[in-house]
Amino acid sequence: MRRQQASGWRKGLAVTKLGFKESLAYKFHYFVSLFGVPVNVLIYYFLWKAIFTYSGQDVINGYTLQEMVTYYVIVMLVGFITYSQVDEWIEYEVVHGHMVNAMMKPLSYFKWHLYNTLGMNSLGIIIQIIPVMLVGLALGLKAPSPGNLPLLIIAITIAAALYHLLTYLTGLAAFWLLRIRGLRRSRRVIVAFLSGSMLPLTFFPAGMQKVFSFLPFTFMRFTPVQIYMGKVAAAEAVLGLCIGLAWVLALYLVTRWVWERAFKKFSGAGI
Amino acid sequence: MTSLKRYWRFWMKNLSLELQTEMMYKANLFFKMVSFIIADIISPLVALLIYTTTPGIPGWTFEQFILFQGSFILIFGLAHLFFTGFPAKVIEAVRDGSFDKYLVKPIRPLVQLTLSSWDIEGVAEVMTGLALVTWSMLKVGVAPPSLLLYAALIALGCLFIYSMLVIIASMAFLVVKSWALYDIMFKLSDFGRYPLTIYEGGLRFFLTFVFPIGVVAFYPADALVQGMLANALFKVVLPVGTVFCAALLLWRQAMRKYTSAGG
Repeated sequence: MRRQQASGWRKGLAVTKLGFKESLAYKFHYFVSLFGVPVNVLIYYFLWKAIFTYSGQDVINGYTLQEMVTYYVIVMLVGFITYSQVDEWIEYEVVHGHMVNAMMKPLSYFKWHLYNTLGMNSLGIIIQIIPVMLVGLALGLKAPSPGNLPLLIIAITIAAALYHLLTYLTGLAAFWLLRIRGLRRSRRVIVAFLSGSMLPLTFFPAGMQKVFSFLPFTFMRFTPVQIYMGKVAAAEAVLGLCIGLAWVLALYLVTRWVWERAFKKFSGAGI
Repeated sequence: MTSLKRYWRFWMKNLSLELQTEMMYKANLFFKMVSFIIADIISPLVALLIYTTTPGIPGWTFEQFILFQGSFILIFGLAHLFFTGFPAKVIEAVRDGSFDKYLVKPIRPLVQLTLSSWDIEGVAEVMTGLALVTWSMLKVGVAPPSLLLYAALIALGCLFIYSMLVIIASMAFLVVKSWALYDIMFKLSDFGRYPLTIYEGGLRFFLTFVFPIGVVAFYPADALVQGMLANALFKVVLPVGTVFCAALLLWRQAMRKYTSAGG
């Protein structure tokens, strides 16, 4: 007789597959989002070319013009890999009364969305990351050095975990606020700014950079990009990743704490 | 005249509806407003970081560049407040077959759609844009009469965005996934976040003549800084006027082609 209860791992895989299939419905969307890559690269290339020429310097805040453009390309790649829109799903489920359904799944709500996001991002990797990487390499983007690869993979995993946890926390706010489009947008913009998506963190005043090295945002974009580009010493990178890992744990605990309160608050209305 | 009055009343009625809808989720409205202010304030912050660590963008002092960014935010804020949402309504209505309702009402479909697309979130963007523009104008020093011409240039900027939206809405009748054009248009608009002068070669040509976002966002601030407003007005009227006429023609064509669907 087969066991009725599938193991946690198998359930996770099933939900991951489901997420992948769901994302196939939006494959066109992934292609359209690719359009942003050349636009951003062109904007940043011309912007920084103008600034570098005007300043007469070859290196500004630790970056050459070529490195500056590379920086933005890798930021976009890390952004695609660590993408999570779980806050949007949670808002949808709360507002449309699908929450009871979601809670009856044989997997905790948190795990469900974690595996689902993993599945959805797998398609992103196929459609977005591989083409951008190939075009980037053809245009002179350097591949990460093999020695940095293990650290890079760990850094990107931490980045993805932090980004997902923060997004999940934002989503839980829907239990109290219902519609959270505005909050989601604030979260996105603040993270983009403080994680170095708009400007390398070396452009910030020294005091702020010190503070940033202890905040979770740094590890969402800046740290993986720096490791990719080989701009940090291994020891320093390991120390940074330890702080990042501590943030993952901290945010996970906060998530659980908030979830308990959200669960109590939830009344099942709108079924 | 009576029809203008009717339009006005229709517009105001829609404003009150929009306000009532938004008041349903007050916390969300608050966060939406704050989020737009944050989002818009970040680009001047990036500019500040650039200007404190480098000499900046050639030809633009920090205050002048803030004037430029403020103008861009103001144009998009006004568009957002008044009409940015309308192609989404067309796309949705064409898809589910409810577009016919716009055809049977006693107001022209395009006017009806445009005047019922208030989005109160835009107020936050307009306020941020105005604050940036006012601050930088006080710093740069602007003669009051030129403000009128500046306002005209801003209005032309809005007209350009409106024309692009009419084109997107028209495409909803012709192609299936026309919402992608929305994303593409807004992505292309990002080119306008920096002065036209930084772009070179073919890209500059594209942003001047094909998709004149460079012209639209650039000239209000540039003309104010250089004091050549009348000249700029001429440079902007032509491309924007062309795009606007083309958009209206395309819309007419789309209306003719529309045979209703869904049922």
